[in-house]
Amino acid sequence: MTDIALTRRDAEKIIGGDTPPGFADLAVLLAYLRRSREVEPAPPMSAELLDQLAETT
Amino acid sequence: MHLTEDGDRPTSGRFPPAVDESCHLPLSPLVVAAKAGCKASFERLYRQLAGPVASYLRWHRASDPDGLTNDVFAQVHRNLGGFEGDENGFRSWLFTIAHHRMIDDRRRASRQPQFQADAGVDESLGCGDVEEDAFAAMGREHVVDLLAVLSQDQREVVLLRIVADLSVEEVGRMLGKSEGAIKALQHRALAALRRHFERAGEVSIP
Repeated sequence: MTDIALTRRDAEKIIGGDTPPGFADLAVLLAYLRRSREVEPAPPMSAELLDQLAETT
Repeated sequence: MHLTEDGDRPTSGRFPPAVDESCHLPLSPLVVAAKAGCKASFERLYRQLAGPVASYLRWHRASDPDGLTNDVFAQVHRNLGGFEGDENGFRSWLFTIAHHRMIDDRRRASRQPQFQADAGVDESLGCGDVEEDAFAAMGREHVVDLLAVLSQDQREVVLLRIVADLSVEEVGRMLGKSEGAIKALQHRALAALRRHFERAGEVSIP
């Protein structure tokens, strides 16, 4: 997986350092969203998708 | 709150351990093989990318993230023969399809009687421990509320950048906006969230 999404460092550059009030919480929010992408399990394939795969491959 | 040096990998028990990405294969050979009709390669693509797609749709409060994810991959499968590009191009194409599905879903929902969508008590963010699971669920609700602070444009950019893992250039292409416009939306989104936290005056994210 590529690693080009917003990171804390990006946010620091955009917001202007880690000193402004609220920045620490913002960094945690970004980390939380990133982690959600990594831990979300793939949902089961639906019967329709499985049928489609079976028909055409 | 505990952040590692770069802030991206919290070490606190508040976050579950990241999925071991060493089991992820490079996408390009999988795409090539899937285009050639290899069902196993397509299934591998699904296993690697259906989670992030479902996550993207869930944060947008799609009515049926899992069903829509299947719809997205059905469309990918139908149109894969015409796809040309590298790994990043494939991710961008995949999330463009997901984005359009999300917009269609939003339009459908706006025409139907409103039921409160499941905000996504995301069991995947739990670790199997009751306390951790409750904490993760509470956290997700809070994050949904935080995303509601943003305008629709800002929210789309943030989710495409972070959850879809796309570059500014790719997000711009997807949304039909210039890179400058995407950077401006990104800046305003982060600034709005920081101001929100500042006003709240406390650690708000579990």
